[in-house]
Amino acid sequence: MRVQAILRRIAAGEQLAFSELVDLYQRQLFGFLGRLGMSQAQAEDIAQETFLRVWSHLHRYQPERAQFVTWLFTIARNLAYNALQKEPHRHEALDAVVPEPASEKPDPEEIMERAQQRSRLHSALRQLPMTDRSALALVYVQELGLADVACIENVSLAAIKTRLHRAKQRLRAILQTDKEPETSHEK
Amino acid sequence: MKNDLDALLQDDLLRPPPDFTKRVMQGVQQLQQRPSLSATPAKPRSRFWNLLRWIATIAGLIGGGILGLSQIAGFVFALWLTATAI
Repeated sequence: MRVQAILRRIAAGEQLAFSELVDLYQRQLFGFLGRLGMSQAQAEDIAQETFLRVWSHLHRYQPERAQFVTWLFTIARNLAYNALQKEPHRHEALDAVVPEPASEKPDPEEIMERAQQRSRLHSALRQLPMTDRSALALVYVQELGLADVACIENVSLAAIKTRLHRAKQRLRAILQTDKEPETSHEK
Repeated sequence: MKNDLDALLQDDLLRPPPDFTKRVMQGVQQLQQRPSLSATPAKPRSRFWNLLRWIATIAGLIGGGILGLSQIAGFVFALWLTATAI
């Protein structure tokens, strides 16, 4: 409902309303791009390009065909897909990403542990095939249901369920094998 | 492990920088300043132009088809002419 109101204001020529739209979706978009295995710099470029495309193609959006969030993530997914396909072997460390919120102050050990977990997850995600990774990244976007994800990926609902199951299984296996050498080393 | 993985995936691996909205809005301003792009999102093409485009495409296809068929007919006629001459 809030999105529709913002879109109406943009259509009426209120440019500043677009910044509200950016505020509303930027966090979800960065979360999605992070799950795709992108680096912070890559994600910033893709997220900015996504919002600029939304701005310049807003006249093409048809509310009766899809939710705004579905349309937005279709654009983001396609841009990210192209960017990742251009440099498939680029592995970047997930360095200095996601600063902890100022209100939470976990102890340094916990911070270190979380950073390691994220780094492991990031490199594990990059080992998944792009189609599986994309489905997995989309399904954790709050406002998207499985049907929306299927629509974005342009496949059937059953295919999405299969991809998700397969992606999670592979991810668990990769994370497990990453963990094993560490634990054996500790012994 | 199952819940751990879900929790990890739900946790944002990346977050937007604090000035991200400002950067996007600067990009929007730059788009507006470009002469080729309009200040506000462009209006969709009119139905008339879409119809005209369709008619032009169909006319092109029909014309191309007729030309192709006449070429084939000419070739067959030439073959027949050569065969009967022998």
